[in-house]
Amino acid sequence: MRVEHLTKVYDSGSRSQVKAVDDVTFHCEPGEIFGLLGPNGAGKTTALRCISTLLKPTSGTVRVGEFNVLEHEKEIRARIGFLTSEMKLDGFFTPDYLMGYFGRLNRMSRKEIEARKEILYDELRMEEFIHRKIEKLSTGMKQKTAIAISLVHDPEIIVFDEPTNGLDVITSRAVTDFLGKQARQGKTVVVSTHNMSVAEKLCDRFGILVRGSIMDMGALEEVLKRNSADSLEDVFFGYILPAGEDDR
Amino acid sequence: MMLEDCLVVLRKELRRTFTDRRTLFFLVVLPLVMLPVIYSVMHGMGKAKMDKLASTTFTVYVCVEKEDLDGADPFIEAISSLNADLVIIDPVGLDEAVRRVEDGKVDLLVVLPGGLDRMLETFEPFDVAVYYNSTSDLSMYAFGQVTGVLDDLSGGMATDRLIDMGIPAEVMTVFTVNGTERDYDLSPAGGTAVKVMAMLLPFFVLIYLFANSMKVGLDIVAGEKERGTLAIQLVNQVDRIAIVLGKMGAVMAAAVAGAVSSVTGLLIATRYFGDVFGGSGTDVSKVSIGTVGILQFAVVVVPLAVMIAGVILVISTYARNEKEGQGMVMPVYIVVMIMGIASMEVGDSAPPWMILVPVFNSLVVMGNILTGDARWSDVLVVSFTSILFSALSVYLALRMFRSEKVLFRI
Repeated sequence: MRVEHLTKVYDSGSRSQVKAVDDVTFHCEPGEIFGLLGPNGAGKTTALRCISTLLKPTSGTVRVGEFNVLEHEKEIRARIGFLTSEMKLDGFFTPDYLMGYFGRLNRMSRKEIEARKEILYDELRMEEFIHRKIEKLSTGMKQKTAIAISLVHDPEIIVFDEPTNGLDVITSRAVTDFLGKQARQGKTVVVSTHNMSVAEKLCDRFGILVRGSIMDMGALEEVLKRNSADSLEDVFFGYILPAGEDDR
Repeated sequence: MMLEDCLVVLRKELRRTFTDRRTLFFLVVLPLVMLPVIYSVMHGMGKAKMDKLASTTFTVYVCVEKEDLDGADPFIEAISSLNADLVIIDPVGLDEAVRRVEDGKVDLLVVLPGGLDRMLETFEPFDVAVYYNSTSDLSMYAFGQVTGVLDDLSGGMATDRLIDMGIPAEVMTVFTVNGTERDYDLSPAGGTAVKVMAMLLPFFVLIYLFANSMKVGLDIVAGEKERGTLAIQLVNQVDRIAIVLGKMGAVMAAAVAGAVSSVTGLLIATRYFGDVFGGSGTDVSKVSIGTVGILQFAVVVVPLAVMIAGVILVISTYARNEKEGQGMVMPVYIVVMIMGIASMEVGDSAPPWMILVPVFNSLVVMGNILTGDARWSDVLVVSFTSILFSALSVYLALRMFRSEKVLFRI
């Protein structure tokens, strides 16, 4: 998956425009986990929404194999599993029903859905709560359900916006382990996060996104070396705080 | 494929709407039982109030001059026949008596004119003043009772005078109008009840079409936007038009279910407690519109439901969240309610061009269907108008569903 000079400008009326993503370029190969690391409002969600075809880039493009988001929305959607950070599933349904529903939205046959359910329920350890209403589930169970329904169609590319946000350490670990396993199975994984330890442990490479622009990009060692820093947190704060303000 | 996709979405939304007990209660059960319950309570309260008034002794002051007491005897006797405490006062105390009626300490003041005896003897007409206080239920009740017996007394006295003069009392009656017990109302079966129903029923249909569309429609898009679940539905193989139509089908089903339920509730309420709004409960049972009427009703109501569902869906799609959607729907709801009231007031006397005004035209024609006066041409024009506006709202909703500026409005 290649993101090329991606720019997204929001026209918020009365001649005011907000450049949420500014000339962002990166790529992510099969079997790799790429992290977009940035503070709130840096443009991570907008970039991921452009990748997943929910938003049209103002300029630049996103390519998945031979397809690009501007011309082949459907083909790209078939290959992408997208999870938004703010998703709160309808408490009325059960995880099992929603798996079926999203499977059918992805034009899967009953047989394909059942086979996929079996795999995901097992990998995410969901069996005990798949027939319980979502309103009765814990935050972790809900997040596992959200992950499962976003991947019901077995996409090649996984795009998760803040997948560990608000989770306890155990569930957070389960989610990162799951994503690691997906990458080892050859999936292309792009995640956004503002959590340094998640980025350090999970991502093979990452880009630091500040005010819509990639400030630095690469594997952890490369970034640390380039910035003469001991930790990713130091690098991160170096970019988001103007000089002299880093007096924590 | 499109139809199949649409059905996938529709089935999910219908399941959400019609298998959740709480939602089902508000959409179907409440409209069904609300009117019978309200009417039975009103009926019970009205009856209890009348029973209480009838068993309460009211106070009547009769103001008469001492020298006219003989002539006042029949008046006092007539009023005494009622459940009343009667106090005779002299005109000197008239001002104080008026104040007491004003203050609610006395329920009624009957003032017999000075020179009553002479006027009765000389057949000179006179006026009896009956003062009451309209803010007091008992005073109003007493007023009705006392003026009733005084009217009877006046008629009785006139008859006595004629008899004393050797003239048969029948001379006073040149002719009567509708004096026998025959039914002179030649209106179609149901008469007044049909007219009342023709006014109320379309209004209730409209209220529930709108209320249920609002309840389901705002959650189905604005609610999903708020929960973030809409975005994930958009990132799949289904075309957005299938999502819009599927959601719209569910809103429409909820609207029609509410309308059918409220109409059933209204029929039950008027059948058993029809006297609450002045009709007779049994008359309502005669309301029958026949097969053609039912068909005409469906031809008007279904496109109206689609149109309302479409409008709600457009608002729901534009709103950032359910709360904002509710605020946006309110002005539309008020306009629709005004149209509903206007249709009851104006009805058939509306100018012909108003047949093209959506909602209003549906209400007028629904009323006409119930009274058996609807023409197929009107039914079809109304249906066409609603379909036109429905198509417009579906088109708008679809445009909005394809617009990221609307769907992901900041």
